[in-house]
Amino acid sequence: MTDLNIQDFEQIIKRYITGASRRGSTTSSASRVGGKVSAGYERKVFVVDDELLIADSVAEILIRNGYAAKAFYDADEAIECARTECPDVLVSDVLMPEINGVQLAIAIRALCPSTRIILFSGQAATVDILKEAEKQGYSFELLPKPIHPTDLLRSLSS
Amino acid sequence: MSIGNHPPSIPASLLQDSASPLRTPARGGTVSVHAVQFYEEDEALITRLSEFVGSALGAGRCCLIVVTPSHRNSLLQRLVERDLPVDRMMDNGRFIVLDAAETLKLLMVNDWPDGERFSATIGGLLSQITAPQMHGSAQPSVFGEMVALLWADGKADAAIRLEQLWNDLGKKHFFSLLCAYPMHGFGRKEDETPFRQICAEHSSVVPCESYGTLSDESEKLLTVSELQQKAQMLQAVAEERQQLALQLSDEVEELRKLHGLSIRIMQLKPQQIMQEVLFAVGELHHADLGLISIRYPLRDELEPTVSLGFRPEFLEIIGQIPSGDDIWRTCLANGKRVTVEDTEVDPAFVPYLDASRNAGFRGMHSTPLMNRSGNLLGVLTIYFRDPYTPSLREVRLTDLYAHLAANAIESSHLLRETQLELARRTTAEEALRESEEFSRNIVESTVDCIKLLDLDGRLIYMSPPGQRALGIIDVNSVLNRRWTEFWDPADEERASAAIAEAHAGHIGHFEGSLTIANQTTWWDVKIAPMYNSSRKIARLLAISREITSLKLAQTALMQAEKLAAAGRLAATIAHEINNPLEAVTNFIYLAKTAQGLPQEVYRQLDIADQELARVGHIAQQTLGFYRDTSSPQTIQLEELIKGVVSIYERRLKYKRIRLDQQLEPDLNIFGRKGDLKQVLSNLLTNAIDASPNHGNIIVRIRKSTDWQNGAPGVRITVADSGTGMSPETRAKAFSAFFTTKAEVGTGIGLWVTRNILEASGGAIRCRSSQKIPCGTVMSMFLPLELRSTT
Repeated sequence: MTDLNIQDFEQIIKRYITGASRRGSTTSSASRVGGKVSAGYERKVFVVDDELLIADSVAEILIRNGYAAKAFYDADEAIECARTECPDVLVSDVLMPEINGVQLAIAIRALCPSTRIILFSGQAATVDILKEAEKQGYSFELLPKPIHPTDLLRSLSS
Repeated sequence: MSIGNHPPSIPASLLQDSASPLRTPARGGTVSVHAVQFYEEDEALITRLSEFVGSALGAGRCCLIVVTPSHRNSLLQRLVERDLPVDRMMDNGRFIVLDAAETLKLLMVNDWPDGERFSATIGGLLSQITAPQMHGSAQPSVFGEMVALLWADGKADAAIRLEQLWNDLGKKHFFSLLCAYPMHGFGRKEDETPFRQICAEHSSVVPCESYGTLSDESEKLLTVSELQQKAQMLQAVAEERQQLALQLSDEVEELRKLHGLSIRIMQLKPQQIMQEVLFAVGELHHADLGLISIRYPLRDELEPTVSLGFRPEFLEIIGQIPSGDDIWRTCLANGKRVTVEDTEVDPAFVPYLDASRNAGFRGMHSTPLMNRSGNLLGVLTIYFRDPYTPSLREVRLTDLYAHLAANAIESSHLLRETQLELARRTTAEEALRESEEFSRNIVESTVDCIKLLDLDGRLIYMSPPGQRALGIIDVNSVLNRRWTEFWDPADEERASAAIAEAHAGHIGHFEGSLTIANQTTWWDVKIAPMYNSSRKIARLLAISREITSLKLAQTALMQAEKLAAAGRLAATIAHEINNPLEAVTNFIYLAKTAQGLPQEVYRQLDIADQELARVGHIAQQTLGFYRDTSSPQTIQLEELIKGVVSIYERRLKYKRIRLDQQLEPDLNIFGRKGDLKQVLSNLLTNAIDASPNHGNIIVRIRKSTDWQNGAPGVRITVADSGTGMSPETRAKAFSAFFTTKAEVGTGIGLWVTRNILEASGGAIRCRSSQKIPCGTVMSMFLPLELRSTT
């Protein structure tokens, strides 16, 4: 690494990676597998992530494990839905465009005070965002990406 | 006196001289006779003497003579010619001849004629010859020259004394005594009195032969008159001579004073010399006033410098007389003296009459003061209240004094010039010294290292600050060595290139590092050519500025930037990786939980699941900037380690590595799980990578205490039996971006590990050996409560 011009490499990778990222390149209807909402006694979970694959796959995993999970691809949708019916748990990515996970969390907390809110992120910078939120009196749980489904399930059940 | 045997040769007149005090009535009526004969020529004496002796001997009387050898010889010869049987008589004892000098010696005691000895010797002799058997009482004739010898010796008193002794003897014995003196012995003025005294001792005086030859009375009177006139003349001459002698002594005195002054001058200052000269000249002429003026060529003025007797106002007036074309200055400029005998009378003096009347003088005499080359240095003038004419002698002497004064003035000028020159030189030297001081201050004060190199590139000079910066104690150890040698090998070439640039007349420039006394320093060097007076490059000037701290800062900055860039890159990658990773993990999970899945497929998916988990961990640990953001919790170490180990199960199995877990049960730590997991992951990964097939790895947890502060904690050890690390590798193991796994390593694993540990209040150490038994042991200490840092 010492002989490369790090800055250049950084730029190249950024472009390459973000260019190849999910927005606009993959569309998958696989996310809609088994996405029916169960009623009543199952705990309601909102899964929010601007990454379609992640939102769908997490929701599917939760459903298979007895949760009434619903996937959302942006925060607004989730908030709208929360107005109608408060979820038991909110699981959300932090870094999302427009409204980020923390803002979503704050909004949901306002709407549904008893909702458990779990945020997950792959970026260390998230910690700072959370600290900011803490200062304002909010405290949310944070799990690091990538999280193994079993860990998530364990976390939810505790 | 014996009348009967009166010798005919003695003039009768003499015998009748009664003025002599020696006339004493003797027994039988005999009286001694003491005559003195003056003679001009020896010949005359011999003649007289031969008569004296001849007549005595002829008359049958005895004779005693005390003579000088030459006189004796002449006398004897004469007597022989007269057919006198002198030999026989001498034999008979009738004729005694004594040597005057010898006899005199016998008589002298302490340079004085001794009476006792005289009577003993001469008296004895006389007794002998007047003994009755010697022809009875015949009065002997005696001649003595001893007195003449004494007189000739300058012993006038002794001579007179001797005469007196003779006279005393004459009272006892009776004889006819004759003395003789050469007249030329009485030529001095002071001889006059002794002459008379000598004459007084005798009964008769016989003048020189010239008188004796005169027979005629009138002739004698004429001769006396002539002699008197001569005496008068001589008197006049003597007076004149005295006058001249006085003049001469005056002259000598003057010259002596002049000489004295010219010697004293060596110790006097010019001003004093001039004063003395003026004073001396004034005295010489008996002048009333005197003045020495010095000419200053630049101003062409005569400035009064030393004066005698003048009122100050006059000096002012004189000083203000402008130089012009006048007789004075013309004469003086030509080296001629100017004498004004009477100012009232001399037409040339008319313009200055007021001045002279004011000052009160009427006569003046000016002498120019000139140096050897004939330049007019000044003027010496003396003034007289009355009209005055200097004598030639005075003028001459004044000239001599003028020389002294001129020399004094010249040396004073020279002295002043020398002093000015000296002052100029001193000032110049001062300026030079200050300038050198200035330059040296600059060279020695500036922190840059200033060096001079010769054309071969050898070090001729290094400024003290430079020596200090390099830690050089003895500068001689570095002088004369090739300057390029000092630089670290990598920079030698650039140093040489810079020197070449300077040789070509440009400024050479490079940055390089030096290692002296185990200290490495970085320098920014500029080398410039130095030209000598013939515009050729004679030396090279190298000025080096230390940039060690700058360089280190730059390096650190670059390092930090690399890290930051790496961090950003990592963050970017991490972010981009995590999402797809998450998705894949989820889908694999979903696939695993599908209904009716064949065992084989499930197994395969399970493997996929594990591998993905590993990818996740790798992503976390190798991208390093993952932070465990969960809250600290009580971690059961046993469980944690087992968990981490399980991640690597596959790899361990693959390489057939035996993992030995020595876990003390119930050891808990309060801290962040993620951090701890990452640390353990890193160490385990390294251990696995380092282990050969069938290798051993031990993971041990024990209670422990902090070695430094005794805080309770846990020691976790991960040991492998791999190849071990070399000392160089071990030293760099924890450095960022250092890896021995070139293709897969990022070099930040251990660096992150150490950061996490140290941030938590723990520590990590490493031991490694490449010799059998080889392997590496990583030992970490964790306090029971990990410090939570942001």
